[in-house]
Amino acid sequence: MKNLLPNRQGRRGGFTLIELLVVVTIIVLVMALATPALTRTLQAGKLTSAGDSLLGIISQAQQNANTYDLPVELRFFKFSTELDLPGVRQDFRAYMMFKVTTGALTTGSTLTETFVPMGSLTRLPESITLVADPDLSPLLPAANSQKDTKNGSTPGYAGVSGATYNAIRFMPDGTFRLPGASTGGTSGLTTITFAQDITNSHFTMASDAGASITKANLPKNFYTIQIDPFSGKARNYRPGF
Amino acid sequence: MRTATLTRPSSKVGKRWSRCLPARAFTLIELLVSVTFVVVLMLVITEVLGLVQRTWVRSNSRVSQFREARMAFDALSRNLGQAVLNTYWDTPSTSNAGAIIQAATNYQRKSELQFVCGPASYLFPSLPGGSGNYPGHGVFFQAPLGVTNLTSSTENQSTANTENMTGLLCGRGYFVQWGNDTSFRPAFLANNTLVPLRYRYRLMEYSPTAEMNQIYSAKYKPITSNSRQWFQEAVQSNIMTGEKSTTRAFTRPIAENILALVISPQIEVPPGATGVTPTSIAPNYIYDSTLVSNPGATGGAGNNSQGTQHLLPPLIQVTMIALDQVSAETLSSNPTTQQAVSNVLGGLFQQASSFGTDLHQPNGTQGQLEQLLRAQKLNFRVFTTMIPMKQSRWSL
Repeated sequence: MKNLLPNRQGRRGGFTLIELLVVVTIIVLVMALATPALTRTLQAGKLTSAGDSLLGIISQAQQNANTYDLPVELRFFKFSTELDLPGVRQDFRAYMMFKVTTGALTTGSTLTETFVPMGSLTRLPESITLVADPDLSPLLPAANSQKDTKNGSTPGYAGVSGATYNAIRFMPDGTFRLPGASTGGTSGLTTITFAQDITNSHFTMASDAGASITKANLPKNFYTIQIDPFSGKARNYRPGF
Repeated sequence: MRTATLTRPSSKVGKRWSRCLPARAFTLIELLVSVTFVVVLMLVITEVLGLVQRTWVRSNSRVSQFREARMAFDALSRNLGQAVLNTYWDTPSTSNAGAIIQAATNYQRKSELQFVCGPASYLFPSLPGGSGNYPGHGVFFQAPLGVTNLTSSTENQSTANTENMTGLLCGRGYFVQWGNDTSFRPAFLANNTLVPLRYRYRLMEYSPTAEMNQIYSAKYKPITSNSRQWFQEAVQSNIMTGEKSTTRAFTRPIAENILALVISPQIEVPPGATGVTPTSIAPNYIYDSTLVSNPGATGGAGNNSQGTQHLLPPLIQVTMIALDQVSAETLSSNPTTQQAVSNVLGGLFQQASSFGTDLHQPNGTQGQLEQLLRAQKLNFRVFTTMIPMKQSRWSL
C-alpha cells in the first residue's frame, strides 16, 4: 500500500508505471465490455435500415405498377465471385427495379418482354445479405435463378459479368407473382406463377456471419419481409417485437 | 557526467515545470474518482440518448403506421365509391316460364345485387370466435373492380385472358377482425419464440375474384329473400382461420391496428326540411338494399312504396380508428387494457344519433372511445371521409 500510494511530499513528478498500468487496464476492460454491444447495435441498425428501405422499395414498385399500369419487377442479384467475403456460400447482395413492357402480339410470333430499368442498382450494406435458403427465402428459389444479361453490354445490370438474379414481379392489379426461369433476359414471355401460399411468400435478410444461414442456424437478429401474393401487402417479421 | 546531465536541466527547466504543474501529481485514488465520475457522466448521456432514440422510434412508427392505415383507407374509399346495384324496372310478379304473359299493372325497381352495411353481428349470423372479435361495422357491395384469377401465362393459354378486363363485376367487403397471425406468418417461424405472435385488430378485405362472385349463384336468388348469403364465406374462407396452399382465402388483412370501422349511410337534408336527419335512412347503421325500410328508419320513403329498396345510399360517411405500432403492442401484451378496450368497443356504434358521444363531439368534447384510449395511453388517429356514391341518384 505504501508503494502504491506513496507519500508525495518530497517528490515532483508524474505517475508511477504501476498507476498508469492500472488506469490503462481499466480503460481496456471497459472498452472490451462495451465494444461487442456497440458492434451489435451498429449491425442491428444497419439491418433495420436495409430492411426498411427494401420495404420502401417494394411499396414503390407496387405504386409504379399501379401508376404505369405495367408489371414492375424487382431483381435480386447474386455475384459469381463474392466481392465481400470470398468463399462463403452465395447470397443476394443487390437489387434493382425494372418496368416490364410487352410488345404487340402478332400471329405466329412469340410475345417478347422488354425490361426498362427504374432507378439504379442498390447494393445491400456491407455484411448484410438476403439469405438464399429455401426455408428462409422461399420467394427466391435456386430453380428460378436467371442469368443477368443486358443488351449491348458485357457486364449485366449488376455491373459485373457472370451475375445471376431472382426476380419478383408486382402486377398492376396489386397481386404479386414469381417469374420462372424458363427464359431469361428479353426473349419470350416469362412464365409467371402466383407465389405459393402466404406462409411461403417471404424472404429474409440477416447479417453475414460467415457460415451459411439456415432455419436450424437462425441468427439472433434477422429481418423477414412477407409479401401477400394476392393483396400485395408487405409486412415485416423481426425477433423481439 | 551523470550528475551533470541530470542537474543542468533541473536548474532551468525544472523551475518552469514547477510553475506549470500542480504542486503534486494525482494519486491513484483521485484518478479512480475521476474515472468513476466520467463513467457516471457517460451513463447519464447514454440514458438521454436512449430516451431520444425511443422517442424517435415511436414517432417514426407512428408516421409509418398511419401511412399503412391511410393507404388502406384510401383503397376502401375508392372501391366503396364504385359500388353498383344495376337497378332496372320490372313488373312486380315474377312470371314463371310457360305462364300467361299479362299486361303490366305497375313497375318496381329491381336488382340482383346487394349493398349492405352494419354491425358485424347483423352481417354474419354466426361469427367464429364470437362477435367480440369483430368490433365496429362491415360493408359488403358489388363493384366493377376486375379482380380475376384467370391470367394467361403464355400466348397459347387454355383459359381466357382476363388480365385486361378491368371492369368485371366483383363482390367486395371490409370489416375489422381481432386475432393473431398464426395462420399466415412465414412457415419457418411456426414454432419460433423469437418472434412473438402478433395479436392485432386488422382491417380485413374480402375480395373474391370475378369468376367466384357468388351473388349470381342459383341458390341465392332472389336476393331479397337471400340477403347477405353471398358473402357469408368472408369469415369462413379467411386467412385468419387458415389458408391452404391450393385455394386462396378471399379474406385478407390490408392494414394492421385498425380498431374500428364505422360506416354511416346518409342523405343530404334539404334546407328547411323538418323531422329528417342525415342519418335517418340508417339510424342503427344498418343499410340493406334488399329491405324496403332499414331497421329503425323513419321518413325518406315518402309515397314511394319501395322505400330505399334497391337504392344505394347517396352519401356514406366512413370513419376508421387506427392505433400506432407501439400502442398496438401494448394492447396485445396487456390483458387488462385489452379487456377494457374490447368491453367499450362492444357497446359502441350502435346508434347513429350517438356517434358524437361514442367517438368525438362536434364541439370538441371527447367521446367515450376517445376518453378510453387517452386513459389507456394509446396513441390513435381517426380517419374520416364522406363518400358521395356515384351510382346513387336520389335525394329527399
